[in-house]
Amino acid sequence: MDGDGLPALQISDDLRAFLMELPDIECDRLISCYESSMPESFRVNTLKTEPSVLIPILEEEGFEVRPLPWVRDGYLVRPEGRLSHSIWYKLGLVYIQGAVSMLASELLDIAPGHIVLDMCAAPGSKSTHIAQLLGGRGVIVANDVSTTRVKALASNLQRCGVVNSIITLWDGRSFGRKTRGFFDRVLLDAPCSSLGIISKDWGIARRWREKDSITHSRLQKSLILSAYDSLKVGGILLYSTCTLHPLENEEVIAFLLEKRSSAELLEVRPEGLEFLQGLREWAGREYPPSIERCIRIYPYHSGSEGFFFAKIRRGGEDN
Amino acid sequence: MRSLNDVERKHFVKTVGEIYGDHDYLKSMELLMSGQGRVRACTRETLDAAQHLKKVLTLGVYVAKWRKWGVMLTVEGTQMLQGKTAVNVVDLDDESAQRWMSGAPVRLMEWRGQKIVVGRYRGFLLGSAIVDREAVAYPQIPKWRRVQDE
Repeated sequence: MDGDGLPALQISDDLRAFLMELPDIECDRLISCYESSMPESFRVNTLKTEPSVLIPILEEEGFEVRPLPWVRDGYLVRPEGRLSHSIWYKLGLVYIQGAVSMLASELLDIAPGHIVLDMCAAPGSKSTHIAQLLGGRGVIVANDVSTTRVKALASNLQRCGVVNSIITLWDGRSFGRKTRGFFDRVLLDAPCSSLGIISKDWGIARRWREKDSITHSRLQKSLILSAYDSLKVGGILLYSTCTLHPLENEEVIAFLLEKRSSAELLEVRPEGLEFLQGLREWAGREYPPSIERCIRIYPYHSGSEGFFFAKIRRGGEDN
Repeated sequence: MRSLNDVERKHFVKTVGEIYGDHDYLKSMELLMSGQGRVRACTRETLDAAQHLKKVLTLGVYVAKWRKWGVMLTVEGTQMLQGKTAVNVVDLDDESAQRWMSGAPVRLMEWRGQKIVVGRYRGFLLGSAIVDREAVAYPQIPKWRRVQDE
C-alpha cells in the first residue's frame, strides 16, 4: 500500500487523480478487483442447443457451473481456461463472454423479427448474443471498421451458426447518414479507455492519461449521433462502454440529448446486480436529471467487469 | 457472392439429399455461392436487408463446399440436419470425437462403403469426413476450430 491508500499496482498519476475524484467509488475494493483475475463466464448458444441439455454434460466432464442471476443462459464456470479448449466451445455450443458484457444485449429488449445493428461488433460476443435473442428471425447487422478484427467477428458468427447475420466493414459514423431510420435496435458498445477491465490488462492502468478519455469521447459523440439517426422512430439504442470515465459516459449521453431533442432516456435497472446511477455532474459540468436513468457498474459490484449502460428511445422527428 | 440460380439450386439440394438424406431445411434458405465452391445459407430477410447496406462482406453462414464429385457439408451445415432424418451418420466415442475435432484421421468401426460420413457425438453433429477404402475417415475441420489432440 502507498500513501494514498492504493495498493502497489502500477497506476498512472492521471488515473490515481481521477479515481480520487470519482464520487461514490470504493477505491480499495476497486483496486483489489483490478489486482485479481476475473471469473470465467459463458453463454449457452441457444441457436444450437439448450442449457438443459448442455449443462449436465459439462458437469459430467468436471466443470463447476453456476448460473448468473442477471442474464438468461449465462453461467460462471470453473476451472478457468478449460472450456475454450473443449469440443463444446469449438462446436459453437458455448460462447465465452464477460459476465456483465452479456447484459448489453439483454437490455436491448430484442424480439424475434427485429432488424438490429451492432455498430462496433468485433469480436462478436454481443452480436452472437443478439442473434440468440432473435431466435433466427429478423436480422443482425454486425459492423466493424477494422479489417483485422472483422475476421474474428466472422469466425464467431460462423461458429455460432448465425444464418440471419450480415457483416459490414464500415466506419460506424457513416451509418446515420446512409441508413437513416432503418434499424429497430442499435447497440453501440463504443471503443473506450477500458478502465472497467484493467484486471485483464494491467498495462491500461499504467498507460492511461486523461487525454485518452478526451479523444475517445470525441469519437463516441460522433458514433452515438450516427447510431441514433440510424434508428426507426420508436427504436431503442443501447450505449455501453467498459470504462468509468464520465467523459466517455454521461458526457456522451448528455451530448446526444442536447443534439437530438427527440431522444428519450429510459430507465436501466438490471435485476440481481448492484449498480450506481449515472453521475449528475462532472468537472463543473451539470448533466440533465434524466442522466440518473443510466447505470454504472463497478468491478466490485459484479465481481467481473466495470460497465456503463444507457438506454435511449428515439421519439419523433427532431426540432 | 451471388445467389445460386434455379438450376444450380436444384442440383445442389438434390446432391445434399443424396449424400446426407435430409435436405428440407435448405428449401427455406437463400443459397449463395461465395467463391472456391463455398455455399453460404441465409434467410430471405437477411438478403433483403443487405440490399439496403453498403460494404457488405458476408451474409449468413458457410454451410457447404460444392465440389465436382459432390457436396461436403461444414460443421454448421451438418448441425442444421440435427433432429432430422440424416443418413451416413457415424456415432463416435469420447476418444474418436476428440480425434475428429482435432482433424486427425478416425478409423470407423462400422462402415458400409460410404465416401462421406457425418460424425455424431452425444447427439451433436460434428461435420463431414471423407472416408478412404480402409474405412479411415478424414474429418474436414478447419484449423481455427480444431481442439488440441491430447
